[in-house]
Amino acid sequence: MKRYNLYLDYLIPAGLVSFCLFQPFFYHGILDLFEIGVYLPFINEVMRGASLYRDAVIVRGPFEIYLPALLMSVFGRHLSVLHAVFYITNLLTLVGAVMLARTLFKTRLFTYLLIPVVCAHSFTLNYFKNWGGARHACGIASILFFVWFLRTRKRWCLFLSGMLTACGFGFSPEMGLIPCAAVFAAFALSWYVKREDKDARPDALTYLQGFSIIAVPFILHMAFSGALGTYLKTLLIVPRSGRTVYHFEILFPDMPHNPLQALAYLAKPFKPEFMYAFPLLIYIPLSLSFLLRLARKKIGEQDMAVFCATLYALGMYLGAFRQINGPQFLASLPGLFIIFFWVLECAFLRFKKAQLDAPRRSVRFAGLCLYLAIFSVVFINVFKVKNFLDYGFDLERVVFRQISRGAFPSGTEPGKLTARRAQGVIVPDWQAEEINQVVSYIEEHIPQHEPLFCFPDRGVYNFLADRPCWSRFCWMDVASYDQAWTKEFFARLYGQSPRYIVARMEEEVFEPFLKEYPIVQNRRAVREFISKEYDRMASFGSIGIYRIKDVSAHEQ
Amino acid sequence: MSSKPFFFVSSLLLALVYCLLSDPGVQHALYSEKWMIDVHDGKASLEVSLEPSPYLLKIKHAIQKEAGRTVVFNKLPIEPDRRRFKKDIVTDYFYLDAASIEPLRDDTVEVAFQGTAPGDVDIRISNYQIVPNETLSYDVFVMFGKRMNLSGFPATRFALTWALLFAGNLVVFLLLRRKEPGVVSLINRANAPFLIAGALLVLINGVPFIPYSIFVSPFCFLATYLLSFILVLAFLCPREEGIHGL
Repeated sequence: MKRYNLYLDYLIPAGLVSFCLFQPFFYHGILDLFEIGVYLPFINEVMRGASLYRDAVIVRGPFEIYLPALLMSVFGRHLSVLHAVFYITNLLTLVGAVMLARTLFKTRLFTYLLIPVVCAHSFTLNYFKNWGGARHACGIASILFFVWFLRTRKRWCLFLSGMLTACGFGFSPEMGLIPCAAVFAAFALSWYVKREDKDARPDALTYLQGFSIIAVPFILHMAFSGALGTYLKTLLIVPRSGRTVYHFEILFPDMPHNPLQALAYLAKPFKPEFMYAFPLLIYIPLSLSFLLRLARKKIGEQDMAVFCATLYALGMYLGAFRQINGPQFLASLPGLFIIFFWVLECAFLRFKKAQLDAPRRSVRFAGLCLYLAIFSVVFINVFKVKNFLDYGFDLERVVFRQISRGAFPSGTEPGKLTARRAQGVIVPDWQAEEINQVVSYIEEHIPQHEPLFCFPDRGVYNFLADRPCWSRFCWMDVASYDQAWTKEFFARLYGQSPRYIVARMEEEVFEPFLKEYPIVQNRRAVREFISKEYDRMASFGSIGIYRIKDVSAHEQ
Repeated sequence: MSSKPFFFVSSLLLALVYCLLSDPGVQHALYSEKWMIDVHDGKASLEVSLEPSPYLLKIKHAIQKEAGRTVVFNKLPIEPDRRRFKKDIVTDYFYLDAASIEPLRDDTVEVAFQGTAPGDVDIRISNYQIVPNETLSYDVFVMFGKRMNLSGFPATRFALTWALLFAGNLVVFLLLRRKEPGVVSLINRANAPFLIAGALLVLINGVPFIPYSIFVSPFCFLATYLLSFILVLAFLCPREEGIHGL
């Protein structure tokens, strides 16, 4: 069995990943109010004692809310805690990816070469502090522990892999299902290859024990708090939302929506969209080679580990087709690059062998091509990592010298947020002005415990002003996922209208394209209702604050 | 020739290449300005004071169907050397040579439209281009015109770089000498591709008939050198798994 060096194989690569992604001022910079609005109002509700799904319906896993809520109860209720959760867990995902690579690769060289590539592609400035995070960290860690188990046969690794899969499921169902499918496929393969070996069944049992230790208490908690029904319903509804709620084929007609469509992009190698098809160039030949090895009965432990990691990466890639131009695709790239570099390493080792056996001209030429391929892939990505570090220096200048050049779009000055729960966070001045004014107005004019309806996706104000959500659909678009929820939402809106509404009345860019879809129809109905039944008290930037006209009706 | 003296010399040559390609004076010599000029009566004009050296003039505006356009620089009509279309925007590139710049006087750019004119014109003048593009990196500059030794020969930088590169090579030598018998030759061969590529770039800067100079940032130099060195070492190392320990 291969022996690993703690420093060279684990600590230094982890340190290099942390260095490449070092961002001490990660909590500053422009805020994506939509993305953080998916979390903050729910965190606020949980901290006010609400039960998720029963009192606040979310379309993501409950751990996505519980983890930042737990950390906020320890470190304080501040916006930067949410960003810290995303930043650190995204960092851990890439550390996990590099550890997994080290376990699969035979040489350290390729692990080190992978670091800039994986950092540059999957850790982008747009998403690193408000998207992904813990769910992907759990997914990759679960595969990592499974691969360690294959190498060491230590059962605690398998147990931990099961636990992490369950945690992944708690964060996002797909991050439980994909590692689980990869692990069970590896078990099935192991059973098929060594039929006389009876180890596979107890192994699967250990994995399931690890899974249960997280899943059973979680299910019991959901059942006793009366949230299990809604949770199960979201598990069924959400996977179809790419067609029933948003319909990405209409919104993004120029991008592939399945692997077959992606194949067409192979003909455009110099376009950025080629990247959508690039995984097929790796996965298809690898699958064929794997089937060939299986037919020849040449499958070993190493192949099993690579098989499991490939299935995980493939699952992530196929899952990304729900919106391939979004961060989902970036999240699938660490897995892809691990497999890609594994293929490059195999080619490199084969070249070395051929070089020693018969140093022919064709071997040298093949070596030169391989050298150029590896050099160019790593070289380009080194600069992307540098850009990311440069952004950190730009943010430092914003913090200490109030110079916004580079960190914000040109011509934008920095501004500080003054709301108690976001105090000190530096954002572009137009954003700071809008948020500060809206929050101060709410704090001055709306009573502390008055429920607030933030329309359509500005739930961030529920958190910043510490006002409870008016309905269990803190993010009203969730009500569009299901007809029964839509009815429930409008029955409450018309029957027990909120006294105050914080609303952004402008149409989103996607709305004209989805006129017939419930999400747009519901938003229009709410806008019409607000225009008819509410008076505008104040407006700040794109946000208006509305009060119901007929207060007596509200009180009844 | 024994490879040991070359091991000493190669770091010396690398330091020289570094000092010639990565000149801190480049940052001061870069010029790039952008103007958004409103079109009045079918004309947009700009006055700017330029040094007598070559520039790239970029004119960008919305495409106006059935409309002609002329560009005049210092009262002489000029034709675009390159044209790019993107959706409904057209970008024309004009290379202005040093002789066309008016010394000690303001230079004028006039864009005149016949027929329907766009609302405004985006004019950019620069004396360099970033390779491959600004989004990817700000590390390789192609400057128009011949520019060598922008800030004089930096003797201290040269000495420090040489010492650093020599020390780096020495560390690799000490790490590998027991495991790899021909380590000195291996290090020399690992230095060679980068040294050759660097020398070619220096040569391009020196040859008079190539009308531009190439400069790189210190980061670009270091990253390229390290990557090239490590990869060549791995590919040349006689062991099956590349360098021992990797």
